[in-house]
Amino acid sequence: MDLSVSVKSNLDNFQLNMSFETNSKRIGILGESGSGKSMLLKYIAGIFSPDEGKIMLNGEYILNSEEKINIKPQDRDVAYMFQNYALFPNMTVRENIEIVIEGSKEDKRTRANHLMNKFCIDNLSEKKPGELSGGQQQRVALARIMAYGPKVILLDEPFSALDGNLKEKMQVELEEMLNDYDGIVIMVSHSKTEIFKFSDEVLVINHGEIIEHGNTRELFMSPNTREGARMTGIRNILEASVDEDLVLHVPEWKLKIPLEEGFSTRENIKYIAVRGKFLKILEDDEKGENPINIEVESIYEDMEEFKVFFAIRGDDNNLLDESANVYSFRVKKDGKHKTLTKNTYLRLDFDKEKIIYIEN
Amino acid sequence: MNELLEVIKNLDWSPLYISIKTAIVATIMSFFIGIHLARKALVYGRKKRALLDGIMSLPLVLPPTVAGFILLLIFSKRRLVGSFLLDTFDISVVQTWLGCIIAATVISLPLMYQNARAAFDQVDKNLIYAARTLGMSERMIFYKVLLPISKPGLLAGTILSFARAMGEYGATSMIAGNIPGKTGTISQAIALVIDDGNYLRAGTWVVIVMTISFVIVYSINVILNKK
Repeated sequence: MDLSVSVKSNLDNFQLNMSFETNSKRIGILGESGSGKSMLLKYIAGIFSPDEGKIMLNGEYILNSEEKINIKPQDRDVAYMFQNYALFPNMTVRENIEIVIEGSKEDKRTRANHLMNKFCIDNLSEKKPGELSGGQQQRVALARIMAYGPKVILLDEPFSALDGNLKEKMQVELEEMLNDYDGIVIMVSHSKTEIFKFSDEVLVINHGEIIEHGNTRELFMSPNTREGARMTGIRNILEASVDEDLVLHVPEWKLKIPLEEGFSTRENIKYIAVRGKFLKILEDDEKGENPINIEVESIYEDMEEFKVFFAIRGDDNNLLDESANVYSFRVKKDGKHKTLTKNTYLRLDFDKEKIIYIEN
Repeated sequence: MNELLEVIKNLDWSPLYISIKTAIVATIMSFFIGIHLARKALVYGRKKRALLDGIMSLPLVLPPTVAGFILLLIFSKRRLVGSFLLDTFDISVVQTWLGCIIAATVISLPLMYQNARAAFDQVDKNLIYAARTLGMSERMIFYKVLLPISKPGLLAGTILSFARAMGEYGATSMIAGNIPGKTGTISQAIALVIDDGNYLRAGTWVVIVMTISFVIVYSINVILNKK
């Protein structure tokens, strides 16, 4: 299974220009709403056509604007699951599934029965979509897609129509339901956790362009761009530079960090990023490796941890200015830190091994 | 009271049959042509669709007599289409029941078209896109998804078309005339008897046409909404 896409389009508020190749089976596309990620899916499905471009699936063009190839969506073998699941409201669950199956009445019935059983919706077979919950609708939509049996399944924000609890449940369920499907599944989402859980390979999209592409785990560990770092959930992204003496300057945090020998390959560094979970609170008597002086701005508390938003303190012990950036770190609620108070001063430290270097 | 009974006893019922017959045939024609054109509008580009919308709103905004005049121009035996129909198929439109049907269809068609078009437009486009990516043919999507979901709008269009066809006067009087027993519809009968100053007979017809229209519109509603 391989998919290669190269599309260009002039959309209302931006240029869409994306190219990628992949042979993964579970691909995530991460991007904010309006970044062009749903449009990319619609081009692959053939629902819309880009101004120009080529899309090749398993060695065959399903779109090639130069050669005037543009296979109809009906013949592409690419199924699209919409955010609202797009179940036909005039049909029962069974009819929704049977209508995409080719063959005799009996074939339809048997295959629909099998799928409804597999997806645990047999008890809903005579219900209309309007009578189903969001999670049930999603299961029906997926059963319908499986009934059709496409080579590629496109999931457009599959969980955005569900509420909190159900969302997490369905994330697990969806993966289970797709377990024995061996075609390509592409999921589009603005949620980094959904994409991280689901995909082996990820594309990060910003303003119509692919800014990051790679193995999901590696890319989340060390994104290559500032936007990519932001979208994979890093809040502490700082301007930085390395001088001739291999010292890393981080003016926003007032740090000068000497780097080890052999770092010369990293001379184009523009930013560094530090994940909040790697920032530790220093006790009064600890010196620390890279200490920063902060003031706690606000605290978000849940069962296990505090998420603390902070600003850097100036040399005269006042805050730099009102518009100073707000960063964040996380602390586990353990013996040492049972409570944290707003507007208190703290010292934080981090291991320079944990720094993510960003060149773009 | 006696006078009224006398009127009813001597009433020529032909305008009633002619009106109902005309309205039924015209509604059926409008139903199919209107839905067909509204479906075409879905796939047309912006300009072509605007043109179709424009043409389809003309009979709504122009006086029916203007439509009647244009129909006369087209179907007059001395003109191209009219003489062709007469010579080749021995069909004549002017001063015949066919004229009634054509006039009523032309006048009622825009109502069917506009309602069908609005109904189709309201259907969630994602349903159609999803159906396409699931391999369903355009034909299947139209009959199994688009039409059933649009039913309420199509129903409204059908009822309005029928009502309009039943009451058609202007265009009909110009192209079909008012030949008693042949092209004389209720609307024309009412106009004629009022001209004669016979208000009782006119009133009788008014009550009849109101009752009939109501019963038919009500029945269509009940039948089509049953499912």
